[in-house]
Amino acid sequence: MSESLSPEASVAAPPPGTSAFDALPRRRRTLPRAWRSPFAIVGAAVIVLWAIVAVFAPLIEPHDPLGQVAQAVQPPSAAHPFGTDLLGRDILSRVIAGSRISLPAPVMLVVASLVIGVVLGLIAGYFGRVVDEVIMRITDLVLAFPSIILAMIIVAATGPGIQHAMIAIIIVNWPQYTRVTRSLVLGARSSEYVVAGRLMGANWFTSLTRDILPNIASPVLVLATLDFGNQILALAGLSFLGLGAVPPQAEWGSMVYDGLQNFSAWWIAAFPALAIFTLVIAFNLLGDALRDALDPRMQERLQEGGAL
Amino acid sequence: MSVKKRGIAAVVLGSIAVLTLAACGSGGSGSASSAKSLVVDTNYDLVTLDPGRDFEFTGNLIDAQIYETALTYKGDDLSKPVPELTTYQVSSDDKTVTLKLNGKHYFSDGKPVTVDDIVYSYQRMQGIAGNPSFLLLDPAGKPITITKVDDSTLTLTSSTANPALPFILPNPSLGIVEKATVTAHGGTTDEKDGAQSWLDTHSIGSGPYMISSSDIKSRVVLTANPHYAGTKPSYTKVVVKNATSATQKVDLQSGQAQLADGISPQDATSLKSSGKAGVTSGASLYTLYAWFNQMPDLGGPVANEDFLNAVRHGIDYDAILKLVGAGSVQPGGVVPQGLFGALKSDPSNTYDLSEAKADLAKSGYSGQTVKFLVDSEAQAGNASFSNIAQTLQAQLKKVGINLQLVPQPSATALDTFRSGKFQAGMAQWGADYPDASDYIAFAPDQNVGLRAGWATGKGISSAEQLKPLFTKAMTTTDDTAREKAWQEVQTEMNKVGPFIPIVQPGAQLVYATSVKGAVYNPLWTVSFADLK
Repeated sequence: MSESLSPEASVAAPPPGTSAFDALPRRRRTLPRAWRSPFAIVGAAVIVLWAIVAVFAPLIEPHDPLGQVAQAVQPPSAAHPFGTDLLGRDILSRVIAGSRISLPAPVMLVVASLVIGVVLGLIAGYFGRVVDEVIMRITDLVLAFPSIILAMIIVAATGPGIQHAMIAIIIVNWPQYTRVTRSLVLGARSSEYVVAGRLMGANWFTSLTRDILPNIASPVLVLATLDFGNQILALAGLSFLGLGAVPPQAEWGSMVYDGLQNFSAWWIAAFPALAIFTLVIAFNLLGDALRDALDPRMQERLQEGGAL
Repeated sequence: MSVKKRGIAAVVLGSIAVLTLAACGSGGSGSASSAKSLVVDTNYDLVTLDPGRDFEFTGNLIDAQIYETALTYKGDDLSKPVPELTTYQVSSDDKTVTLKLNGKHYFSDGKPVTVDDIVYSYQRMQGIAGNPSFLLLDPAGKPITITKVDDSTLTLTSSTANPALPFILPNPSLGIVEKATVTAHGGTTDEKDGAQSWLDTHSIGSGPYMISSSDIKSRVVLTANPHYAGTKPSYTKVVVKNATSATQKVDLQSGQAQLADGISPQDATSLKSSGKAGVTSGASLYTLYAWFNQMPDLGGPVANEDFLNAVRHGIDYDAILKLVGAGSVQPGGVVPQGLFGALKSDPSNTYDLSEAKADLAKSGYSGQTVKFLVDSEAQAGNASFSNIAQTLQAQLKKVGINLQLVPQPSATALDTFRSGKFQAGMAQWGADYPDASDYIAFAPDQNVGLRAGWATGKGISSAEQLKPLFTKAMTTTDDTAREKAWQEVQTEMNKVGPFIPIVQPGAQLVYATSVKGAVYNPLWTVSFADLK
């Protein structure tokens, strides 16, 4: 026991109650180097910009995103900077309105998948045996299907709509978190600090939440950050296929589909596609930076790379 | 069996048509002597060129140039069949159509067309049970009996009145082949028929063209039939080439094609305005309509005549025509414009916002959400069904009607509609043959009628009112009276029925400026022999 609390051990695994995540800010006053990379700053700036747009959408929109007011299929002009679509709606207003779906929806998707996946992964990894088998076989079952196809089947059965599409994506998305969490728990479960905690009288709940969870949080969080981009694309993809947003709701994926029907009017698809592109790239840049910051091994490699 | 004057009228009309054609022919005969060729771009859906099996657009386009039919349509007028190989007379009970040879016609091998050839072609088409075989079934679902009377006469006998038969006979699937040649290549009048592969690459018809070479995946080359009885076509060689919409545009611009049928309406407009091409358009045989379930428990507030009238007057039809694009028209009733029995227009289906609001106030509707089924994959002209539905939604919102769109993929949407359990939606119906009697499906208790909950015996007054009118239209045999009866049915349906005809999408042909005389025909797209 005294050995497990020795300073050598705490290098590999921090003492119970703290984590690498907790330890980081204390060690460095400034942001980690990875966070200060230009990519991370650009990513964060783009996300903040989109967040502002989404929050103030009704104030920024020059026209009603559903109003069929202008002449149809007009190229970009001063009155309609992004042009108008087939029904004479202002595309700029629709792109702005679309941010109110495309920004919060992936956050909700990732958070929901994360919560479900991590809870199941903790239970499976910690208790093992039958519980583990049952949970992991269900996980395998879901993972065995190509995720977008499974989501399409679920939405086709329940009918299109943003809520249905989001439920479908959560159903196909949680298993990856369960997998990762379980493997991390399996590794941490037999660690001396966990065993020590149990011997000191901690029950399973305390052991999971105080000893294990903080120590496995960072890889899972990195996975989650990198998942934002995927979820934006998944939701836009379902809408593109006519299974997400119900018309006339402004949603980037379904707007791209409208553009595909009118290929000679490039602006109908180009601007919503550009919006998807910027947001996905921004989340991925931020996710990369977070991984670099939270993954010590990666950080070492980065620093070595810098020295070279 | 008394013979009606319709047959005589047809002969007179036919001869006028022939005379007109002859006059035109003599005018343009100067160019006929020089060999001209034409390249036609179309998006292939070709499966076979065997007329007895063909039921696709490309097959119709090519077979109509190769095989003459007993009767035909001139130009784009589908309201009146005219004689081609034969003249026709209909018995007073509408059960028997008598066809008489109409002068001499010759197959491309030089042999004359005989009654035996016509009987054989019809019996083969029935016997091989291909896609178009239903065309020669009578309304009771029994095969029509084909009998040779003498060397110039045959009869087609149905078990029940079948006034639509003369309108069906011009279909390119009913093209006449030469019995001896087809038999020699394995042709029979039952399912053992083995002539398809030969007919895919060769032809033996009496039309203006014959197959010179054919690859049903990419290109079919036609040359003029030297024995064709009519005016020799201006273009002696025609290549019908498979091309996507985008390729068609490029081909036409670069002069590699002179005629194209798949260029998008927007591209067609820009080609036309640049002076590089001409565009001719016509209405298709599709009616796009809205439907509202009349079963009170399923339809709720929409199972109400005043509500339906509010929708009828709340739709800005002109705006939808503009959206769907060139060639589209507003049908007067469910029967599309240009067909026998169609309504030209109807004051019930007009845009009048204040009238719509007044009707809605009477209906007792108070802003409930109306679930509106839309096929999310279907397209009509320039617009998708989803675009049209969104426009309807915005237009009806001004009246105070709150539509909630329920998009579903084609297969699912059709299932949902067919179940008859949905509240409302939008659908389209394409004519199987150009006659109003095909639209009996919209009657109460019939196929489409039931999808909108339009059944008798359920206390739905409009169904009780319309059912006898449909019965009358189906049993009337005199042509003038039959046409009136169908128009009356539609006028009444436009007042109380659950269907609201919205638009008949158009189709267009884009042609190089060197081509003259292109007329769009909804059945076989265009007649190459008419082009100058």
